[in-house]
Amino acid sequence: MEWIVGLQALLQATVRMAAPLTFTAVGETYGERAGVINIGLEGLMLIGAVTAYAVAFASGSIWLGVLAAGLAAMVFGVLFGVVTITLGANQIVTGAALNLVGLGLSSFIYRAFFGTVTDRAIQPLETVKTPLLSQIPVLGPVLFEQNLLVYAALLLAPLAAWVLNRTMLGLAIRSVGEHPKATATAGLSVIGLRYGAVAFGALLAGVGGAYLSVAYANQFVENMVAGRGFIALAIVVFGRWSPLGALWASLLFGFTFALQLRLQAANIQIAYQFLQILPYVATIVAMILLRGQSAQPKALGVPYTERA
Amino acid sequence: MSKVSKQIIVVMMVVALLLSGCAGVSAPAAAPAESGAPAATFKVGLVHPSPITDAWSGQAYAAIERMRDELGAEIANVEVGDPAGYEKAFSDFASQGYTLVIGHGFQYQDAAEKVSPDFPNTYFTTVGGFKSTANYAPIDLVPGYMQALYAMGVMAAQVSKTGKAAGFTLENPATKLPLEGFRQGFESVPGHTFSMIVLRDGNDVGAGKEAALQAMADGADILIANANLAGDGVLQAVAEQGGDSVFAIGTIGNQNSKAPKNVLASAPLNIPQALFAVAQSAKDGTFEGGHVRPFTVNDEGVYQFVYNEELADIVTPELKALVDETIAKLKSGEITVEMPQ
Repeated sequence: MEWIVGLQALLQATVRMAAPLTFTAVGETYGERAGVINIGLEGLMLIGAVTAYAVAFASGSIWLGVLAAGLAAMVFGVLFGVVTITLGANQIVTGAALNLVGLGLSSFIYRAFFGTVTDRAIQPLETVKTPLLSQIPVLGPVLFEQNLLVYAALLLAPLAAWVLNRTMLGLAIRSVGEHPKATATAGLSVIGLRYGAVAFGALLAGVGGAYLSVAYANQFVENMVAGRGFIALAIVVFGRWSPLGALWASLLFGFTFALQLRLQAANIQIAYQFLQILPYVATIVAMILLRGQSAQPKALGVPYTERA
Repeated sequence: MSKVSKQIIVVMMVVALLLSGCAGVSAPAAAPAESGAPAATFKVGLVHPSPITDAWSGQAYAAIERMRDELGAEIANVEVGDPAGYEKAFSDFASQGYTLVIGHGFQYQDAAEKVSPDFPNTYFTTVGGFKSTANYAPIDLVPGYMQALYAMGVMAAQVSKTGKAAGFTLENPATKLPLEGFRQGFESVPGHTFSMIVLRDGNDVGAGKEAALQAMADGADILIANANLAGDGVLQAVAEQGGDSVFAIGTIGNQNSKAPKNVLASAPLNIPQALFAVAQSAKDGTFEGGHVRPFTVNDEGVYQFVYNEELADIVTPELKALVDETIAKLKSGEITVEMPQ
């Protein structure tokens, strides 16, 4: 029975760690399917994390914090859109700048508002047990005994996949990323669709960051995103630009991350450096195994101008 | 889009970039104006990496305040986070006739090593580091901290029911070695095992929390973290999921209040006391350069224990006596803590 408890702890951790990556990667999938690559996810997540924490601290409501985080990150997403979509600047360079802004601004805001506050505790987001379903052995506690943001992440991926693959809106988004000229000929606004996809992506990155500060760590720490924005970027590619793929890739990453911590705790005689690289090696190996038909949107990273 | 609005956007981007720099870049030196005076008065300069409201730099600032009050020192401090400014900060103080210049962090050691030969009348020290010159000696708090945590390990072994403890640390030796001391203390009781979990990022609270939960799932009932802010995640996991069966030991500062029902005791490091001892030697002229100045439990007041009064039924007077006895044996050399290979 002991190994079942152990497995359960491992899988619970998998889902908890995958949630912020899922939010961010699903959002970025939308942006990239529309042809805009935003590598500034790390910065957006930090802005989300600090906003959620500050608003939750001031208002006492976690949900208000999450909402504010999404909106704050969206503002920066739109700003990113102005520079890359309207002005046609290089998306990679602008994204890199966004990372710097996010890191500096989040630290600045935190120091400005909390530099002198000593009691920084906020009420953590509660775990909600789904009736009946949480009674299922192993899978019950793993999938149905989490906080509401984890449920939201798990439901978001299939919903986003449905919209992208089965609706007119999804078709329009996919077509702007493949052949913007044709989309424009069909009477759709390339600029509008790209702005929408980028803003939506930024909003979800903000929620992903909010998860870290208000649903996970219950505090803000400078640079607390710790590279998850870049991992989400890799997950989009690994998930072959599909929301469900992003969910599976996040879960694989979460699992291997939890596993390496567990193996270190179990004192097995393998150097910790090898265990630490496990999540990254697993990602690379999985990508090699799944090689083949490229799914990358054809117009990814290419600014759209009506004259071209 | 018009030329003007493009210009406005460029200006906005520049402002945003400048804002992003604010958190990392220091304020200019706040050193007193008089310069070139010989070291007639006792003057202490402090170079620190973060604002003095921050826990780490705050300790150093408290130390120089005490030097002012008790040693009559004239004090000044400057925040320098940018490596390009290290050497300038050191030579600024030294050229103004400061008796002692303190760099609060091992990252300042190269600057101290380079600047110190030019100013033979000034003493230099850094908190951490392994280089030295004739008038520069870094202080090394690790040997004594290994001993102090050894004693905590001996105590924790008496509390543990599963005989398993887990430590959480970061890549660098200064955070890792103290837990090696804890390991030796915990494992001095036969049948007890300690496992060390190395985290990748000292700011990743989430990873610290998950690491602690995995260690608990593996049966560890004593946790100790020396991993900067990621350690907060460990204590949070213990506070949320530890119940009345998993316990923790606080490190560096007094962390008892972070998990009041689970932290047995904290082993704060009294850095101000160590710096004060160095300042005392600089004032007396007994400051010795040329080698690292190691601190051990024989240096009074640098290593302390704060027991959690709320857990007095677990941390009994007998256990406290055991800790005192262990410290006494470490002082006399009856017990030695080995440096791991």
